[in-house]
Amino acid sequence: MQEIVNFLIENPDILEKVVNGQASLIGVKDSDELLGIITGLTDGLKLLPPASFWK
Amino acid sequence: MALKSELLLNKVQVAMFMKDAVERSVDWLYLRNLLHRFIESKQTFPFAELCYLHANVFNSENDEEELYKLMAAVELLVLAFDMFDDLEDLDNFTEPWMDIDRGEAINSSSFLYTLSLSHIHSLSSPYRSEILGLFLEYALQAMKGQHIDLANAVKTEKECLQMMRWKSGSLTALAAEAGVMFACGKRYEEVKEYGHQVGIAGQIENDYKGLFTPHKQDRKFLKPSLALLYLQRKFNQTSVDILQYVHSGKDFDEYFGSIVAFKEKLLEAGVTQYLNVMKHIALKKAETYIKKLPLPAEKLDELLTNLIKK
Repeated sequence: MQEIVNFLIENPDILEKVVNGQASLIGVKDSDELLGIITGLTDGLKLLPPASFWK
Repeated sequence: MALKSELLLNKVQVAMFMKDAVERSVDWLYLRNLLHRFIESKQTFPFAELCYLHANVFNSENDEEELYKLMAAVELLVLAFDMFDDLEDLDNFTEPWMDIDRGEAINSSSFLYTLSLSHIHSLSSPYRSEILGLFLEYALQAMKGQHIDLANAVKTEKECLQMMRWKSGSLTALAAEAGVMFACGKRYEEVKEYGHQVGIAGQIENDYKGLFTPHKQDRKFLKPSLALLYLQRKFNQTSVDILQYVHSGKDFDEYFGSIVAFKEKLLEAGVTQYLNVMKHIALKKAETYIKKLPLPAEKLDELLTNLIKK
């Protein structure tokens, strides 16, 4: 996943195509990973807890 | 975690049941007071909440007193593991167990760990043997993950995720599965899986926050983590700069000037984005498993609301 994230950071135009369904990512196993990548790179980078299980 | 549903967990009562378990096992006032102090230091009981949520989603007519005893056992186990973790890592010096004799602290952790298991044994639930089995299974798994972490044995992203699954995911999976077992005497593969994923997401979040805790920085950042593994790929010059900082032994504000400047560096290197992606992948996996459960839509929504859509 490291290479994919780095590639998409360096190529925001490709990220936009992936988000719009105009490009697919080789090496992404399933829709959970794809949605995780898209959400993780487009949600404003709020590293806030989904559920604060950790103090 | 604060439950968003109509379920209301009485946190004061969880602490009370934890203290009650201590009182039943310790007649020596010195040790009793010490363990009470540790329990009182806990502000939140997220694992009890996870257990409570699952017990109520899978059965709306639970024996509340018994359920609180179970939640107390879950939180006692987690407290023992938190203490072991701090004592092994030598960090979190603000915690009360880091402020006492090390031998006493270690023995207190062992005591709370054993008390947790013994407390399960005292439940009147017909499923107490199965619940005890879950505690043992997940406690061993968490210890295995902890040892991999302590031994710095993680070299790849895959190994790191496996370590996090065992070390952190085990405890969230335990809390969820114990609640389900208590409620209906069953195990669901889906609960086990999303329980682990929720733990991984929480650990990623916690690791990110840990980067900004000055007194934890030098030791924590040097330990294998998703953030360090990403930096070590040296995708850009900023990653190299941050790695130099990691080995400098300085605090981030001393090295970068401020927390804002450090955060900008992490963003520039791609660490923040990478951690965010990994967290969201874990959450998406959890969501998929939740939706596979054979439960009515409103129950699934209750789980999703409390675990994912926060």
